[in-house]
Amino acid sequence: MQKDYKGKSSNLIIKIVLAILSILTILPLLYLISVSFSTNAGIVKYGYTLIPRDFTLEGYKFIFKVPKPIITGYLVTITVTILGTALGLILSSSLAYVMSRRDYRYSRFTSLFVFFTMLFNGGLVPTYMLMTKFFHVQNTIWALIIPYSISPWFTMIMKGFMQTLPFEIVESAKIDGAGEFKTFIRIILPVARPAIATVGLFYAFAYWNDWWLAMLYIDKESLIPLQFLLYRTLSNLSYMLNNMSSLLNVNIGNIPSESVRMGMAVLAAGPMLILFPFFQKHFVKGLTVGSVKG
Amino acid sequence: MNFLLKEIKQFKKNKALFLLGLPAMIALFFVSYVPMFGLIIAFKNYTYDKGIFGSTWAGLNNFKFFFTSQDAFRVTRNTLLLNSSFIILSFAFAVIVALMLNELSKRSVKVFQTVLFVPYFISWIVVGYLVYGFLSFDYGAINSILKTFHIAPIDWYSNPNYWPAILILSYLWKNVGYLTIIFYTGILGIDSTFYEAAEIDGATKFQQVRTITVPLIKPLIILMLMLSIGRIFYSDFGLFFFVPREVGALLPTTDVIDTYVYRSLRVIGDLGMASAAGFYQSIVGFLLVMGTNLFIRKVSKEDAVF
Amino acid sequence: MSRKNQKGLVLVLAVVMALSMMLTGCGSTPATPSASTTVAAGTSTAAASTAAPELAPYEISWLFPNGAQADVDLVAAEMSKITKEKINATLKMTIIDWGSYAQNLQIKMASAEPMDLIWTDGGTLPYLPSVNKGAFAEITQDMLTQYGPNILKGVPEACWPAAKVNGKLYAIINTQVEGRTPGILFQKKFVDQFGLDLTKVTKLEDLTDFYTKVHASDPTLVPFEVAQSNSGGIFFNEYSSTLGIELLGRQNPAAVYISDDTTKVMNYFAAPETKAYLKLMHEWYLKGI
Repeated sequence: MQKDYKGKSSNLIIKIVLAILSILTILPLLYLISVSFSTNAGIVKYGYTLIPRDFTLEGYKFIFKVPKPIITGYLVTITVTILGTALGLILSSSLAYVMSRRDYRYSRFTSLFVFFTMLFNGGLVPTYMLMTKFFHVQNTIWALIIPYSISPWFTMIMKGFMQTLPFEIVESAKIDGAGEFKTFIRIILPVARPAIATVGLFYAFAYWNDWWLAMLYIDKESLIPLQFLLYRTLSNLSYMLNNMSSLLNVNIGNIPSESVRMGMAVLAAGPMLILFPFFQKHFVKGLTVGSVKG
Repeated sequence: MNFLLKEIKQFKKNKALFLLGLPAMIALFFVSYVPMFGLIIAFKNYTYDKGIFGSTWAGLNNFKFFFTSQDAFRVTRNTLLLNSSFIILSFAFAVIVALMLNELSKRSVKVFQTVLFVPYFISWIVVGYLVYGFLSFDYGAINSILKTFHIAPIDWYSNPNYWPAILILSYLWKNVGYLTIIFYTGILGIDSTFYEAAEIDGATKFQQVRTITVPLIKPLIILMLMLSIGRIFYSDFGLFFFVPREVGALLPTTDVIDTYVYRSLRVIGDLGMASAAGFYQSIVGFLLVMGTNLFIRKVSKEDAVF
Repeated sequence: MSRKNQKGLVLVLAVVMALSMMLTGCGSTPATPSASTTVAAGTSTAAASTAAPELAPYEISWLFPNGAQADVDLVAAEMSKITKEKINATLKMTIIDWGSYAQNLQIKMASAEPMDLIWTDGGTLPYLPSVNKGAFAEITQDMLTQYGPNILKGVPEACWPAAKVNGKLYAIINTQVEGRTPGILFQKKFVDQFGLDLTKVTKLEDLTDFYTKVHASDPTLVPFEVAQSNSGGIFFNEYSSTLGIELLGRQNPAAVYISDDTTKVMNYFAAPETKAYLKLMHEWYLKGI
């Protein structure tokens, strides 16, 4: 509806500005993709170029030499991302909603309760002890899910979104005699769809990209997620380049290190790019109070 | 007694909302509050065989060790200056881009949003290699370009003066898209009937932005600002660790509290000092947030977070 | 053995300690629910601390760094058969990749996670700081003589002091790498073409002419390159022995002269030999070598 009123000339300027920004943003990524298809010798000779001077698939071949861990990695990561995002959204949206209700008596206390955990944390060792000695989740899929399941940061962002929602819809629902729980599920969640999509994206992203939890809690090969696999290859690669060849006689000259590194990055980020439009679908404009009630 | 009865009565009124938030509060309690007993490590001479409770007390020695080091001032200064630049610039960019996106049709929004958000997927490790690919003295893309224009190549990795700008650019490249999405989502929550009414009243585009969009997402901006201020003493570790590649010559402008603690931890394995530095970051962040919140409450009570 | 020789040996070993691998007996805390329980230093590890024929079943946990190995459990199972028969214990081997080994182990040790044997060295997971943090149980001389006569046979007596901290032993030294010398590889084609008499080459300076000729013949050739593109520092450190200087640690400029009796510690970067070496490298760099 709004679109009809928009001025055309100002739109063009905006589009040009954004296009320039986009080009600046995407340029380094094109280099990244280009390098993933270049040979080491080519990089040494020509430096980073936008189009690979001597195109090769060696980097990807090196990565996929043993495909089984990568398949396991994708499976683990997808499972963790789906379960974790669902759990995170349930916890965050309910908590954010009660914080955003100005008529809720404990709203300020709850905000402080959440915010405090953003600033203070017990540190690595106590957290590790809690997870391994109290919850006993090491070497289970839960070790990859529980620690991020309630992120104070995302919850606060969600609260920020919910604050912009028109408060009147809650009141009218109350007048209609709906309980708090029902109001939340039936009225708030549908209106907050863009907010949920955004925070869901952040949760999915956090789970998808995590290698840290796997490094801490997982030493079973069958539970190694994609990112940790990639991280491990990356760090082993640089470890080998730095130390191993002097200890053992590994011929590191044969490893296409640059293209492997960048190829890893492409493989790790790629699937999320496919997932992104799925979340984006819900960034919809023009939800009105009327459309919800009617 | 009366007070207690009143409170119970109040609780009954708020019970439904309380129960709605309870599962998440319990989860948060376990995941975040329980490990906080570990904060006492900051006051201990921590040794592995004696554990957290068995280790001897160190008083404030761990803090002293950090503050009396000659680097405490330098890392604190770098942390504060760089992080404030990050916050100011990224917020300004993100809000403007979000407002611009709001003016466009859904299709072009999709394209721009996706492009701007992609860098957020790239881990800092890879960004570190990318930056090196651009700035490396011999093969770097930038120096190749300089050479074609017959300008002497620059040795980026030996002059610390370039690095605040390089760090800021890297940060903006990776994070502006992410922040933009947050603000854009906030704008999406605005009831579109406001705009329709404004149109009927004959308000110009710019007036609409100024009188409807900005005031309505102000609470969100303030909230995000507070969250960032609270963490101003913390740094994005990956950025400061992987992008300057631990080059010694760059430390004067790139070393921040987190990287400093990490290096001390790696060399001497002193958990006590790491905890003390963390505690210091938490306390300062907490005070800053409470101060800001108090200030906002004074100026406009509506917008305060707590 | 002359005093001079003896000292030289100990110095070599100091480096061995820094570079080579060690197995360490860790204090293990089987089934301790509370974090406050102390790591029982000295009560455990060798897994055979009692000589009684009926030992309680025990699982030995052994952690070490390496690339992922698919068959590690099969190997552990086979080894368990032997240990089961001898000391009623089974073996659990956990491989952690090189890149995350140090961080992972430091957290595990700090959390007093039960483990029996780990791998430690001078650089990846430094031995000394771990000892200072109380990570390891002591290995007494009695334990070694009673249960490890073969270990005593395998490790030369002179090596042991290198792993001792304040007179106590916490690790068994792996003497796989006792010494190392840097070397330079030449392509025969160029050696013949430019008439380099390798028998006359005794120091790096002798190569300047040869490399200059190579570079002059074809500027696209790279006459001299340090192996491993990312680790010039290691060549730099290891080359020190050729200068007659022994570095005491990998990332530490403290050094001593090998041929010097005084064992006076000096700064590697302040030594005239280092200066001359760096000058030569810079000269080569300027010449395009």
